[in-house]
Amino acid sequence: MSQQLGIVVLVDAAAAIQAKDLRGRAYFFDNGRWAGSTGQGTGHLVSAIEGTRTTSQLDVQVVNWLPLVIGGPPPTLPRTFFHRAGIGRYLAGTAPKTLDVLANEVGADLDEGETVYHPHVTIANITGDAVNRRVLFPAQYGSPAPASAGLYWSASIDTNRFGVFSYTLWLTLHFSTNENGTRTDHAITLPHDACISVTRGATTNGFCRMPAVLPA
Amino acid sequence: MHAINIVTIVDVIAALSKGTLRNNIFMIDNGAGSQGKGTALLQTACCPGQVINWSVHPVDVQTPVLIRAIELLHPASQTGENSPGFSPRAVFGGEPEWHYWRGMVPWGMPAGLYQYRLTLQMAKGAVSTLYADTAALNVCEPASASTADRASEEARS
Repeated sequence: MSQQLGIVVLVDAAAAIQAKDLRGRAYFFDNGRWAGSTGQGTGHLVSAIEGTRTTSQLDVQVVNWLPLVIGGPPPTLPRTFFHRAGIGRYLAGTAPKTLDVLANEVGADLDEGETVYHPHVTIANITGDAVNRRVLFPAQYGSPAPASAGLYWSASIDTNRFGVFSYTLWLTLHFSTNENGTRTDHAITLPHDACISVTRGATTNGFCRMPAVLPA
Repeated sequence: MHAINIVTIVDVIAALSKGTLRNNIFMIDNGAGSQGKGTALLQTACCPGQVINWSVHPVDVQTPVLIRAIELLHPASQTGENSPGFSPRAVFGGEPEWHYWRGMVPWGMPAGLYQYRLTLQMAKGAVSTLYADTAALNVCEPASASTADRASEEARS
């Protein structure tokens, strides 16, 4: 059985859009501190991946990315939350896909000259050294959650290759402006780097105190 | 004055295994001038009259976590002349039913650093509700509130 590693990417959307740069405005977290992950709470996350598998050397580690915006509604809200703004309009793609914590549409009424930053982020792509070297195998899945715009990213990792590998997350943020009475919805896609470190450590779980490795 | 959002990321499995939130929570806000972003020692810069929203996310997809309480550690220190007191509470958030935590920094609150206790519930049972006393609100001078507000409004828009 593969273990699931979660990587939360928390984005200060307004600051990142204004600067057109995610560096210093995105914070990374994972649940791999026990395995030696470093840089939680910063933009310099190195996720530790234990390379020695307990079941088979062919086994892989699975990683899930969970991008969030500071101030957005929790992604775990039941789908009925989104009914309030009309799920039909969401499915038809005729409404902005962002709601605030009160399920009100973000930027529904924009004053002249006003800009709103949507509390909403999606992953557009995952590229970089780790992908090119075929260590990280990212994949995009469909998702029924309106909050994630139907996208969900996960990856499996070839744990036979030890070392530190970098990858680039491409995150899409949204904002709306009103100039001269014309409302425009904008999207901006920005990159941010992070790393995985495939170690020689052995996986443990709640059922064995010592790492259990199958005999060769 | 725009609201500040404080997000707490919790490694629920590590917190329950070790029985402590120490090293297992990370706090971020989207305010300008806050310190300790990304750590449990977040000091949120805020002004009297400003609304603060708290939310909490688990770091993985399978564990629940919710805010149980937010309390100032030294409530006596916040007694301004006309201060109604600072009392964040759970607010009804929308359909079908969910609550989020919000509080307004009272207008009469003297400037200073106010540590608060964040209590999180991760499961049912004796050791599933844990708290951290590390985070604080850094309340600015009421006189400079309008200036800070203008500056942050410019930063937002």
